[in-house]
Amino acid sequence: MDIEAEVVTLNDGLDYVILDEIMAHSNVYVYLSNTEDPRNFCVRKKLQNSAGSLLIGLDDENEFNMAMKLYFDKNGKGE
Amino acid sequence: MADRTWDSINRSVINGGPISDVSDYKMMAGKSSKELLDEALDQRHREFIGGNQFRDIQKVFNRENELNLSDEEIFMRHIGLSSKDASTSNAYVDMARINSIGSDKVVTDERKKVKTDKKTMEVYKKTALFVAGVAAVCALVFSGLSVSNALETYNLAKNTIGYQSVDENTHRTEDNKGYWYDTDSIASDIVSSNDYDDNIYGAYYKIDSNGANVFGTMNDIIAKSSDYTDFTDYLRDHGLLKDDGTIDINKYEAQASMALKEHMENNTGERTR
Repeated sequence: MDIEAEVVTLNDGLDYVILDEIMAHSNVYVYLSNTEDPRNFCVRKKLQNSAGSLLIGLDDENEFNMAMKLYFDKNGKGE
Repeated sequence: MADRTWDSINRSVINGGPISDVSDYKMMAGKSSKELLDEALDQRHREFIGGNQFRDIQKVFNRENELNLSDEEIFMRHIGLSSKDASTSNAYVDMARINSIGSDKVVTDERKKVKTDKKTMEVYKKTALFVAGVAAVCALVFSGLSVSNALETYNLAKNTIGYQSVDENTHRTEDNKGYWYDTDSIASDIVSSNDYDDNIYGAYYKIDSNGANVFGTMNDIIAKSSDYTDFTDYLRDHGLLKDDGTIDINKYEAQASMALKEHMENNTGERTR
């Protein structure tokens, strides 16, 4: 069965499907999976500025760990 | 032995009993990795409400190091996977970490709608969940210091007047599903003691942990309790804005929690009520 999904192209020129968006600490974290290789999973955060909406990399490892925990807390409970 | 869990292992550590043997691994292998990951995260949550210290788990890992196993091998054994799986999962997490961190990673958020197979989407989500679970638990297990710091910060923040003045039950909506903060009352409480910065941090900590509109509420509280126009103005005065003028909230949290700790250590008793 087909479902509708959203795809965005990141810096590496590859398309990533959007798996989830989670708001925390005033940031919106966007979780993405490479459409060609599901092992290639990554996170960006949204930044709204005068030029429009951007997806930017995380600051450091602490933010990455926190983003991973947010995703696991939200999506792991129902498994 | 069948009901052996993280808690029972912790008790063994605390009581000086055996902490790891073949039966432990058999018990662990009987559970799904998801169940064990959940247990580890639940353990961490209990720590925040005064349960066992997470570092007791760290002790288990430290003792098992005597068997000359790598941290990764020990961890993966605990979640019922082989060392080969450990290499694979670490590679996934490393790839996710590398692909996620960095100021050079900027693109315009331009999305396209596509049709995809539901099963394919499930594969994406399950892989992501596995990577996130391993990354989250590894971060907790192998960084006992940061977990301890988080617990310490919570224990200090909850004793500030600022934290105690924030009460989501003061003003409930008619259906009792929502609430709003009485920022006049919070501001009044905050200025009632000399520890203004600590109280501001305590209030921030509580509002943030409630998942509320932290910046909007803090703007009100700051404006009503000081000469600063809003939270940004307050943070600017404390050198806590980024070069682009936005709030450096990570730096604020680190600096404010450190200052609170120092104040509490130097002046225990007077800053609590």
